[in-house]
Amino acid sequence: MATDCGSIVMRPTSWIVRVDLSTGRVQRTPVDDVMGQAYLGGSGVGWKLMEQALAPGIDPLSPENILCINPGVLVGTLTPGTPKTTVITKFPTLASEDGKHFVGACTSGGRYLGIALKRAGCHHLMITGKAPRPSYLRIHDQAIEVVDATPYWGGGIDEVMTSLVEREGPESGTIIIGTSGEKLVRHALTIVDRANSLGRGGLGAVMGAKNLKAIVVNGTGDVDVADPEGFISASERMRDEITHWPRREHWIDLGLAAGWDTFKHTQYPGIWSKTRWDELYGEETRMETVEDVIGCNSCILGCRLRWQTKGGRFDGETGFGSPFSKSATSGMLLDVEDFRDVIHFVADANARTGIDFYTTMRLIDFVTRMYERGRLTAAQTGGLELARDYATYSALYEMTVNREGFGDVLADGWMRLKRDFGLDPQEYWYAGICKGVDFIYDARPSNFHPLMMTFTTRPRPHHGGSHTRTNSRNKTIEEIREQVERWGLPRETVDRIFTESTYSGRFNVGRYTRYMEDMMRVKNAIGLCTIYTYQGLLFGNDIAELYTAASGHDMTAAGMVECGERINNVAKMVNVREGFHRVDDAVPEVWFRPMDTPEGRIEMQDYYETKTLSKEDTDRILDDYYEERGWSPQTGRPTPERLQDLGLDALADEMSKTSLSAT
Amino acid sequence: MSASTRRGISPEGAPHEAAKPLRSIGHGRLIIRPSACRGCRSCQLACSFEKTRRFNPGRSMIVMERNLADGRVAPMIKPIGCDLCGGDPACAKACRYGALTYEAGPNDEKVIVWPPTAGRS
Repeated sequence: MATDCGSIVMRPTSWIVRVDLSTGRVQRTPVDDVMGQAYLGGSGVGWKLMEQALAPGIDPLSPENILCINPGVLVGTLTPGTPKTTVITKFPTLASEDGKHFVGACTSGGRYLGIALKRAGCHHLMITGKAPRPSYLRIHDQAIEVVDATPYWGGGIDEVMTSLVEREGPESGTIIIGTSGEKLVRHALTIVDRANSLGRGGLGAVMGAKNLKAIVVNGTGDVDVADPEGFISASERMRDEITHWPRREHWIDLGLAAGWDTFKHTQYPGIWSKTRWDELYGEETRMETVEDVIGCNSCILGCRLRWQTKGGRFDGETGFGSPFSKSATSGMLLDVEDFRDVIHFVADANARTGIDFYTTMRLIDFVTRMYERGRLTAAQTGGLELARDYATYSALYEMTVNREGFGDVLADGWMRLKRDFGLDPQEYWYAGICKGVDFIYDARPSNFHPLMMTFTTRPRPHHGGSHTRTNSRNKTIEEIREQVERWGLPRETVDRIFTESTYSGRFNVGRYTRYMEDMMRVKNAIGLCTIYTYQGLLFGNDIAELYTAASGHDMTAAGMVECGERINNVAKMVNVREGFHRVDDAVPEVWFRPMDTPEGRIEMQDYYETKTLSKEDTDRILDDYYEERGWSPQTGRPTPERLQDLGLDALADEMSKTSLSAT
Repeated sequence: MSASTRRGISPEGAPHEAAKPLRSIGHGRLIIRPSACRGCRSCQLACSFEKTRRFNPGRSMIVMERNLADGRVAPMIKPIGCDLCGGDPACAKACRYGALTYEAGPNDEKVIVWPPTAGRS
């Protein structure tokens, strides 16, 4: 309970709930208040817990791996939009040729999951071990049990979700794996509450390896804030302001189907003309397919979609999530003209198989093209001919999901193709690959802005929570600067970021990225959806105000960024222990190869398109990033001094006394 | 707490200290438009907070119907216990999608679903 009792502010207590699937044992311990303050709570504390608990070098598909599930600090309260839950685990993606795996964080919104976890008192749910048989984890407040899920094993996500919610109640929050997760496909993910995906990089396989088909959560408890009046007054003010955002009507009308006018430039794969792409995958296809826009918990900018296909071979098929942008890029890459045929894969992946659509489609694009070029032969594919047609794509999709034949290779991803057949992921022609994960955006059509950079510098190369104003084109320097200033950064820091250079243009992407990542850690810790910061609707000062009222700890925007930096350093150190080094943060080679398109040649340029960037330029930007972090530019790792400054004495000692800081 | 002050009462009947005092029941009506609901549950959070200064959908007077067939959700007001916040309902203020609105003035019914044929399956 947390309420203002005279002069004493009772702060909400957070709980760590440890579940060992092997034994069914459950343990609950309160989070130490000092740790809560230093790491904000939510996934900030989650990272510290993982730093303490996760043994380096373990197989991510072994019982020793940990799923650390953290609803944000503000999840379950009334805010403009804080629905997010962050899961931290060691991902099974093969991240390097020498067998490294990153430990990363993935985030998801949802209508039910986060709030159910909070109401059940599961602020940090740490799942270890391996259930002896297919199981699901049933949480109902403090009653937590590992339940036999044998009847669900082999079932699709939607059918399992329907059955579990019918059984456990309409407010059940769910995380469910599909058939690909059961088969340990390294890019299997999970689906949360039907319309949200979670865990590119293989969270689904981590659950599958634990025999964990699903987690279903119900809670009846309260979500308290320390200063109810201060909290609601700040929250209502922010909700009112955002309700009057001029673009809101359009946004809530189309949700994630909005933004084609930006997207068709920033994610252009360069094979068809933009006019043709417009005709085949543009705004009209979206308007005719969207049925509903779905809001996550507390969010007033709902964006998830329910869609229905009209006509074509999949007439009447419905799906949940966001099918448009991903199907548009993959449609062009695979030369599939009917958008409905590509959307079918999204629908099936979300409702049945749980496989990552992006990675699957790009692997299929890569191997079919390599087969066409004679770089891959039928002898290597087990006799399978890889034509560039829809029937082959469908077959490869299904074979990957089930690890059948050549699909077993694809199920292990990019590094397996390199190991078995010498097909280097760096040869792939769109978006780029780092640490074994293919990116969603390509820095050539998008330009080299901070989100692009963070794909290479953060441990898990995906955007979760990292969007900023610069994701959109042509934002003014004032808008970009405001985003940093309103997080309370000192004037000299802001000036350093906005110092023009020959290698980064009008602002320094490397230095900017450092703070953007720290802000991302803050947003994920409190559960704020990045749409609010990306659109410039909420800033650090707003978030600090809500956090202070909710937690009872006085917090400023700058203080939050410092906590974000601390969290980020802990996350980095967990990955340093896994052997990650500057060489793993390499900018994808494809970004330096010009795209020759029907629209002309496209090269990677700085945000304001003043120059084409070279490898030397991005190396200097990366140097600046490490310098701004106080990390070694040689190793890309934190220095003992910086760790000490952040109060991370034990980690500083570890860096000083081991070989981790050696070049 | 005096007899003239009503504590916030949870559906399970558990009292809470930080409750608002008793108000007269509002005379307007809440209009529910299920098709406009996005399922964000802000109405539930606002309702529980208004009554108890805590966030808890289970303490609110609103149930979210969840249709597993088509994925839609829609708010439904529990008929007993809702006093329309004395004429300024927190749920309607919190709804930013037009799914719950409040119409002042005397009405026979304090909650209506619009359009009247809107599915409640």
